[in-house]
Amino acid sequence: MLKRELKINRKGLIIWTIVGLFLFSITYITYFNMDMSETSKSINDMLAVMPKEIIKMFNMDIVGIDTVFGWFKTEGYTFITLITCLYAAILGSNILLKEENDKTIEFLHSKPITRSNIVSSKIWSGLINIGIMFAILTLFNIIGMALSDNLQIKLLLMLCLAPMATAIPLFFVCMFISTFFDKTSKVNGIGIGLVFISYFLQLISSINDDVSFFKYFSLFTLSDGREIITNNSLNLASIIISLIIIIISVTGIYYKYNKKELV
Amino acid sequence: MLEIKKLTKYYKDILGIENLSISINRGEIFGFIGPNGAGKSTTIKCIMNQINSSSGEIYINKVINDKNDLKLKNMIGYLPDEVHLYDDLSVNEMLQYSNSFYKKDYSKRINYLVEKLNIDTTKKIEELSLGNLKKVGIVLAMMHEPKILILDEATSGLDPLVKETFYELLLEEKEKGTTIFFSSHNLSELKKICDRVGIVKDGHLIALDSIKELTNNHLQIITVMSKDISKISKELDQDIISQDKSTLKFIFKGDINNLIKQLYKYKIEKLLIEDPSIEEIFMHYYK
Repeated sequence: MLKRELKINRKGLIIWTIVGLFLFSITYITYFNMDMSETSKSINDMLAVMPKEIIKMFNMDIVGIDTVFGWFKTEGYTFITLITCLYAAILGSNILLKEENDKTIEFLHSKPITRSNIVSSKIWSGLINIGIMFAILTLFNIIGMALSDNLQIKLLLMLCLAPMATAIPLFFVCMFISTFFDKTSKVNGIGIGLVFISYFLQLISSINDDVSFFKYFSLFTLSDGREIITNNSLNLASIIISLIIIIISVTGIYYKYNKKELV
Repeated sequence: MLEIKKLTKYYKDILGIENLSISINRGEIFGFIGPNGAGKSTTIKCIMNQINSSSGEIYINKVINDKNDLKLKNMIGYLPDEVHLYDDLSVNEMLQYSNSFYKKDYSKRINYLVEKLNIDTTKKIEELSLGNLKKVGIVLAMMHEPKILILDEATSGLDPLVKETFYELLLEEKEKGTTIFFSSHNLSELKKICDRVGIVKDGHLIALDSIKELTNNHLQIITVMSKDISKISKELDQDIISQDKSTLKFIFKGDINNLIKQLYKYKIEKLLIEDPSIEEIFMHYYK
């Protein structure tokens, strides 16, 4: 069943990965062709008129964007986080529920396979797909940075992989939410909404101390780029919280799906 | 082989089926019939563990039907009323995928069924007509030599030739000792192949017997022609099939002599007494 699952999710993986690669390609091509002496001045002029809060939101107060790696540490990190998290959320929302939505669950459930087996195959397929996406984007960015003579491999690897701390919990949370529904159309909106609300909360929490508490309501806090750039290390607490969210969600998925009325 | 004990299912406050108890023997073809919304699909969904019953139990081979019991699942073949499969696969890929769930390789059996039902396995699932999809569904239900077949409106969408082939397959299965639970609206096919029939109405089992007994229950179709039809209709208060100014047709159960005594006081132009067709019998139960 896992083989079949990987096959049917291949198309989505390819599309989302191509979107990510395309965005990064545009950036690398732009930076490779830029005259940095002129561009640096333009960038500085632009930053001078931007509100401090916006500069802080995108970490441009601690990182310059006059190099491609500088860009990667600010907007690039936002790209990779949003793309992988949107993909994970949509995948989680659909991967299990699709069988009920398409009514193929009547066939699948009639086979000598338990509901837990079905869930496990879907989980492994989802994780493998997310892992492949991260691997491809990471490899691409390593090559891109190496070509730009900007390669700080340890920090780059952390920034490429840290969004997993948000993407994987999102995958499982959306999958758990899907166990309460019978149509994918209802859950897709919830998954996408969860990503954007979470991202928005994390963004505005960085404006000032008065609103910093919003970060506790956002899954994106678990992969906060600012902490990684400042400390040059991953946040262990974030990883532990991610794991806790994953364990709770997985338990919920197995429990709810085994009790669910499938038709 | 298949035992349903006091099965009850409520969808919130809406009754699906209540206190259904049926025992089906090994090698028996059991017909399950009723009007729309009677509880047939609810019963089947409970047998297949697709939904949770409110109360009651289902036993297969004297073992409680647990959704996680793979040994029991291996014994069951299921054909839903609407067959939904994976559009991206060809028929052959779909059958091989189904085969992959079993420890034993059923390729030989698949080939036999495919040939018998004349299925083009090169076509994509999405290209199939409803009838051809149903044929694939039949193969999927029967390929692993199940001990129990659960068939929900199995012949809907099949042309007459394919139906005949399907009945042959069912009788082959019966010979092998397979227990078949057959839900249908088609009365003539129930008469053709079923050993016993259960009739459900409004969530309750209202009759359960062999076809022979159900059709031999002293029901008769009476047609009366008279100028006093409205008075006759009022007095007799029977299960009316049709009525106009001069003719009354109804189902009568009881002593025909009593009926004749009641009709004696009226001027009867014509009186016809017939054995009911199976359709008329079931309509009597449906009402």
